[in-house]
Amino acid sequence: MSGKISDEVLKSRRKVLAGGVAMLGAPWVARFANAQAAVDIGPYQAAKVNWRQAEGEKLTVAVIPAGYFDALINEAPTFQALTGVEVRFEKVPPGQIRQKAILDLSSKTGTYATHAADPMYYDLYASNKWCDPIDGMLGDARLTDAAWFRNDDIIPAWRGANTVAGKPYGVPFDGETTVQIYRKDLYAAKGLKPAETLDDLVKNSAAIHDPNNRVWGGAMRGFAGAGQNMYIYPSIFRAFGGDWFKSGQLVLNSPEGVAALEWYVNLLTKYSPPAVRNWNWPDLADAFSQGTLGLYVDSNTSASVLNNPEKSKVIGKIGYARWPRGPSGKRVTSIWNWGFPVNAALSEKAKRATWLFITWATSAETQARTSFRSKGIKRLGINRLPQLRSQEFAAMVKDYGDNYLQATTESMANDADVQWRPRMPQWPAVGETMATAIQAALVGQKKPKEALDEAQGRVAQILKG
Amino acid sequence: MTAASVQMSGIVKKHGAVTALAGIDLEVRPGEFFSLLGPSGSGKTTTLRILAGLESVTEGRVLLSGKDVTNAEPGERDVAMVFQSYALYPHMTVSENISFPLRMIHEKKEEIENAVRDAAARVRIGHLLDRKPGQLSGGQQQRVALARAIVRKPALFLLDEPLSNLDAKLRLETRVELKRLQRALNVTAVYVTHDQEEALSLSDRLAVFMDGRIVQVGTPEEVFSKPATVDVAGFLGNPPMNLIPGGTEGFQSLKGPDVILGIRPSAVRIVDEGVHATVTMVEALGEEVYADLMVGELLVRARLREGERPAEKAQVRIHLDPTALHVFDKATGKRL
Amino acid sequence: MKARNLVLLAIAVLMMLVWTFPVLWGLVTSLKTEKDVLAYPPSVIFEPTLRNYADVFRGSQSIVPNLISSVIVSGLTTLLTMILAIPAAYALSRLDLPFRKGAGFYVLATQMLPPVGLVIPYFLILRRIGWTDTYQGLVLVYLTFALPFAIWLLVSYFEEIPREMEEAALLDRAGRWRALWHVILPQAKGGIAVTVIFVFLNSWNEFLFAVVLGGNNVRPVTVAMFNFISLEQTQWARLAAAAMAGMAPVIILGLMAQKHIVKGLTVGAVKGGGRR
Repeated sequence: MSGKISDEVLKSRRKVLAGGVAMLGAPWVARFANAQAAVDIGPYQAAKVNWRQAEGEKLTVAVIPAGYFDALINEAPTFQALTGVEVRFEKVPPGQIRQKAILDLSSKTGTYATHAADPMYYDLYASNKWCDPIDGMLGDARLTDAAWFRNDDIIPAWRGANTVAGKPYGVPFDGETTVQIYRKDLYAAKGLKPAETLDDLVKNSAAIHDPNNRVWGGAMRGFAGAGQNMYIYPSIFRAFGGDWFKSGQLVLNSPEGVAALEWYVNLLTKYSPPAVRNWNWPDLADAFSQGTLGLYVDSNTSASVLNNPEKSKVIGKIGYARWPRGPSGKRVTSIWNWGFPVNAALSEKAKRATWLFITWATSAETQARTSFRSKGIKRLGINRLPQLRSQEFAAMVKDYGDNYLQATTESMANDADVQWRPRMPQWPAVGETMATAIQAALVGQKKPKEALDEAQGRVAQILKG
Repeated sequence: MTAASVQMSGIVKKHGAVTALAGIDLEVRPGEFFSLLGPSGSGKTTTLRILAGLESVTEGRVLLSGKDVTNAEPGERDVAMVFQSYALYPHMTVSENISFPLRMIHEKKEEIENAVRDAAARVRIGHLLDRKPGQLSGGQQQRVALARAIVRKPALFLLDEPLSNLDAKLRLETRVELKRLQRALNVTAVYVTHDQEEALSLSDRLAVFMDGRIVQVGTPEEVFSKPATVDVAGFLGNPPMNLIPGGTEGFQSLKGPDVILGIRPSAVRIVDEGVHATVTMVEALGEEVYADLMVGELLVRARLREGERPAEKAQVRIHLDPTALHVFDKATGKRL
Repeated sequence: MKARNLVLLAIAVLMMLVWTFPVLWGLVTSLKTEKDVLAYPPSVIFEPTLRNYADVFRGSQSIVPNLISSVIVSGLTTLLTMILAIPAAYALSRLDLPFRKGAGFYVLATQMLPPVGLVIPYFLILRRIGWTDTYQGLVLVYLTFALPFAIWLLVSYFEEIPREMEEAALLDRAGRWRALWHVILPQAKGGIAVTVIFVFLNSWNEFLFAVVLGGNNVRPVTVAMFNFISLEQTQWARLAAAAMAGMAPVIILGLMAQKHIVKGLTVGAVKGGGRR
């Protein structure tokens, strides 16, 4: 969940402006012009499914305001030409999309045929039967041409994250992985290599830490939130050998948990700017792009921001590496994808239309058209390993910095961990409780052990209720 | 303009359990300057507001020039009112204030202008027409209120203590002017006041209110010289009448024990032979002197000429002029 | 005396700064390039650019439709609120109704309810009548907040106007409605202006209900602002430009009403407006 807006958007916008489109009319004119552009539906017709079986349906899809969804929205006329299904997108701010989706699902109003879903929410959707498992549709030859769609190409960790009790609930559309992002010039000056272990990472940070010259040694997301500090801490926790569940019970304050939190607090208090407690990924990327961070661990997709010539001062000085190993010997990365589930409250025909939309959006063809084959926004978070390893993709990211492609694909293929975060229907509350505890330890309000003990107590209450 | 007559019969006004007016009967003749006099809370203002249509009645009827207006809206009654606070419209100029009642009935512009000029001239504020009320003195504001009331040539003119916010000197001047205005316009005026001097000097006739009832109606002379009840007697006059319970030590000879005697301070004389009294206080007011005299436990006030001034703490003897005695029934308070 | 004035002046300037600094900072940011925004130390001298405004007003990230959406929602809410609240507040201030005190408390209570608790019921109700993502739906919900608040505020202004003022008007043959129109409303101008500002501002700035009950059709500028805080990065300069654009209507309204507000405050203070 981070960055790829970048220069292409700006360039294309400049073109529109240069074209002298009238000031106020511009947005509509631009969209209209897009819709009029000839669409090529040929490659999709290779699939042995009847694309027009749900013709006339109208779908609303909730997405977040993000370049990668803009790329999809730009391609939507192709889908309409292909299927005769009308699709409308509604952009919901990231902080509200979960709440709005739950409102819609729980009231069974069927407003959103599908929405950009947080993988941690599928347990909740499944246990309430708000969304249909998609294995039936995946296996139905009338709906899916398995040979054309090639579901197995989609990154397994992401598919795993969208699976509950063995049944898939959402098809990943876009995603990311977390990696080390460092300044290779600073590392070279000190003769450092990217850290192989968490200990090394701290040592590297100490070596390049030079706050007097506005270079801080290492940082991670410090902001409290299930998708912020609780997005980073689980990787450390698992690398320290932590297990979320002991004999079926959620345990937050295990010795590994405490050690992991101590490591995180230590790094951030010693080698991050004091403001890090309020920092989320865009802030980290902004700081790194201004040369004030020597290292941070965050999403690979930040690369587009870091390489945006409009903003960045560190282009050409960036290197990437997988997460270091923890005491357990494991490297654990985050698993994130925006997937599309099927709303259970839809009519049968609308479900088929929705499924056609999902397979269209997540197909290799659309993935390519919204990424390396796009003339506008080029997404980084492609959902298929073969495409990530393709020449075309490699050419697109060749200037992003040392080892970008390798670190990213290896991380996705090897470092993903199904037990990365505790999967359970109560995740929203559990995630927020943990986020609060982590921040309490970070700002020094509580000792790590104390903070986790308290979180444990609260979570026990939540699970009881 | 024809001056209106007023008839109120059997007016009862209740606010929940509280009775503000307990049966009022009143007649005002056309062209009369009629005052409603009484202490505060006696019901005189409520009566005026009922006449204006600002209050409804619980029982009874109100007739204006013979027409039943008991349930008519204020605007349907052809009455104008001057409020104690003047109630000028602060966002309008003087001229807009005065013309307001005419504009509300869509008079012709030209006629409005003439009427405003005429009304303003009558109260001598022609030079203030473009000012806002906030820029005027209290006296000027009062004149604007008068002008607004007379501009529409109402049949009945209601005034609610219009002079009470003026200083003493201005009050005397305006009083005279008010009477002159009423006469010149030949309009019936009902005037509410708690100031007996105003009521006595202005009115053709007046009604004295006590506890939601009218206790006496008459000309100022009648009311002053023959107060109908002990309460009226104790209210009128400055200082008011001395009230002496019958049978009080020293005055037994005058009447029996079942009465109350009233005597105006001016009818109390210091003499050589009479009732023993002690002078407790003396107030000199130019030509006159007020003396507080204690007869046993009873306070008697006397109004004396400057030459008769007694010394404080002096022992004197007093005499009450028997021809000036008012006698009231002790049980009913009524004049005998 | 002079020293005291200096201290007062200093405090006033400081308070002004606290007020204006964020706005000025936003204004300056909106005129910078992204690079200048992030520069450290913050650049004071830079080449101002209007590109952020161009991006905010046209092109794919244009917030113009959202500004229009906000104007429709806030304008309708304010208009309807005032049309309903003025007579209601006038009646409440003049009638001795037995439930008056209770009504006042009810109004306060509605303001105290955490709005989060109401989002879901409102969503379900609007959903049932098919009014989610419609102007009438959002305006209706805003009315439920704005109306009690406006009535409560206006009552206090109406109560300050002496009853005799309208009694005079009634005797002057104005009738109830014209008394309200010609005599009461002009004197409550300040209070009405204040109420209009508050109601408009509240609905203009509202986010929670707008995001949940709105959608593609009704998407006020507060929601659209998030287009610049995407999941990928915060576009500070454009965000600042959008914020400036979003602030402008409110500031303009404030300036327009300022005269009336000040008047409304001083009329009461100076000589009671000729009432005493």
